[in-house]
Amino acid sequence: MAACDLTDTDLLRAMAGRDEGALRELYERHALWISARLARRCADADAVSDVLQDTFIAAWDGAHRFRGDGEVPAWLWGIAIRRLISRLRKRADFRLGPALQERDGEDISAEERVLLRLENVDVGGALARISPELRAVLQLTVLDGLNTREAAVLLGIPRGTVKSRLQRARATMREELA
Amino acid sequence: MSLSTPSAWHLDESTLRAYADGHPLSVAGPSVEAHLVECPDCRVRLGDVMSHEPVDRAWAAIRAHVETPRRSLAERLVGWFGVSAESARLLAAVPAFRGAWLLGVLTVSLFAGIAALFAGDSGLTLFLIVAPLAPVAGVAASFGGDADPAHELVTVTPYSATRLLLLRTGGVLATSTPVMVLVGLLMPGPAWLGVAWLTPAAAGVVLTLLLTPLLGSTPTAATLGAIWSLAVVSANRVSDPATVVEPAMQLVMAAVALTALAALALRQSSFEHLGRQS
Repeated sequence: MAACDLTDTDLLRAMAGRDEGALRELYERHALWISARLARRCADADAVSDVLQDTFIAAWDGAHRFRGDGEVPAWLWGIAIRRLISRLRKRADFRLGPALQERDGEDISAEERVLLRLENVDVGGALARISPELRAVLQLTVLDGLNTREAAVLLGIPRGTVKSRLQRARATMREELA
Repeated sequence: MSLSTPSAWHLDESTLRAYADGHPLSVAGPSVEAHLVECPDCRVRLGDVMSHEPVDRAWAAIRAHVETPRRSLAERLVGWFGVSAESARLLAAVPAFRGAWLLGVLTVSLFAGIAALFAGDSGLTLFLIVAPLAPVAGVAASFGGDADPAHELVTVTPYSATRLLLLRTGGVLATSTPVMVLVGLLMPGPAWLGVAWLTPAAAGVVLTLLLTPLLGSTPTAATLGAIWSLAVVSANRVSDPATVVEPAMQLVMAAVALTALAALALRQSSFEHLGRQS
């Protein structure tokens, strides 16, 4: 199929021209990993499915707004995580997924050890030593690119708490890696 | 950074599996996610260890959204008044709701108004002929079949024809009446002339509804139009065109409208076949 040769940006451009085949191809490429990443933040499978639908519908409706100066996967994830947050605002019975649960420190799996040894700097060791609360805040702000207000909604804690935890997390990481 | 070079570094399968299965991966999780955004190969490999079923199911809803046509302005407008989406679609398909019809009503009434301004009695004659016939023509066109783009839709819709009839007639009157009243009020002469045509219009509309199942919409509208035009023109010949809407005539028209309305209520069942045999 010719669609396989197209870049994600080409697909979005075709979607702006109301090409449903391009949307299908974009969905084939990105729906699975976005779904998995959402499921790690939200334990409710129905909510994940709804957010996934909303994300691609928003991408279809807003394809003409993609400026083409960023990466499409990051753009899609930006839509998805914000859709997830706006869904949270409406529901009180939301259950956080495994990536955001505030657990007690646990053993790092063998797979993780293998993965972490590949990195020169001991980021993994530093991450392992900070608390799960600080890690969740770091993950949402640094990796998911959320602001502190959005992270606060997702974690269900006050914004001030997010800010102070973020400061502590940064300071800890700086010390660990120094 | 080694992580940002997709070709040099890939996630191993056990990590991908642990990630997809929702294992905590409190340390490796962020690395996996940072890499997945950058690496198409690992995205495909993650898909290989995941169940596709929920994602495939979600696609159906997305496709449904993409394929649903956007509702027109008229449909959304009547939606605000509490009309259901299905009724709104049938109502929006009324020819009187289309731009061309509104433009037609506006143009004709404007010409009649201008004529009345400059041509005195003959202009007034024209206005008095046109004003009541505009809603009559609109109603006739809405149930005509040949002029109705939603004719097939109406014919096959399992929907009370009486309710549909009233709904669509309401739509016609709501669009054409304000325009004509406005033009009428701008006319020279006494202000009551601007609204005096409403009684004959009401009589005409109810008669159209009553006779359309018997004669067909176009003959009905043509006959009523001819009779009314003849009446106004004769009144103009004899004395003043306004005599067709003077108080005595208003009473006659109101009586005709009420009688026709009563007959309409009695013959309600006949609408259930309206437009369906043509």
